[in-house]
Amino acid sequence: MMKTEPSLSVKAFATIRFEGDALDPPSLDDLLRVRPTLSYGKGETYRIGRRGIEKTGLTGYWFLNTKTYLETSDLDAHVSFLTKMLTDSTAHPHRDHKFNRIKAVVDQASLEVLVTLFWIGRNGAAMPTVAPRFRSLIDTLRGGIETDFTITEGDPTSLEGRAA
Amino acid sequence: MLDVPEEDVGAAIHSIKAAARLRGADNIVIYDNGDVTDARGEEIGNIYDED
Repeated sequence: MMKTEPSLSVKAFATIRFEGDALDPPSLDDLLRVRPTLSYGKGETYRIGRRGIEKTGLTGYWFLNTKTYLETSDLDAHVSFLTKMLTDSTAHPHRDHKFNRIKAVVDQASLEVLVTLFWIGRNGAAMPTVAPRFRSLIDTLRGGIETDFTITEGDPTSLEGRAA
Repeated sequence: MLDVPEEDVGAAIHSIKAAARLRGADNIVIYDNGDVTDARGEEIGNIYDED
């Protein structure tokens, strides 16, 4: 991941989702060793939002948003959190027992995997890039990565008095 | 009009859509009270619920 000036990075987090009809949330909890932000099996009821809107799972879903665990606006830290969640060996994940068990569950249950990366920075910040090693990790799970990166212009009111 | 900074709205929308199994390209509707619905009109969250 490309480093950007921390003061120019306003907000960042990452999400990961596993979904599929055969998904068993407790099994993924045990495997990933982290509590998800939201999870449910197909046909199970669950609640979202502070008003507790009740829904029924159209398919199984295991979803984690790193902002639950990290408050930093450093996107690298959020990606690192996901990497460590998926593998005990960041140097050689493809030879790692935990990662290979996750891959086996994904394959056997035909789960879809998607990572989303959110980052917003101020004018002058360098847009982040996705590290090839992380992309390879998600590729191995036949997963995808969606990026939602934005650079904001400064507050127009801050330009007051600067007109030539 | 939402009384929330631009970056917070963007982050909230991303979080709500992801939790609702939506993708970036999926359409949503945001109401003045912060409620967010998917393209079918099903409520999927509220901007003010996201910190």
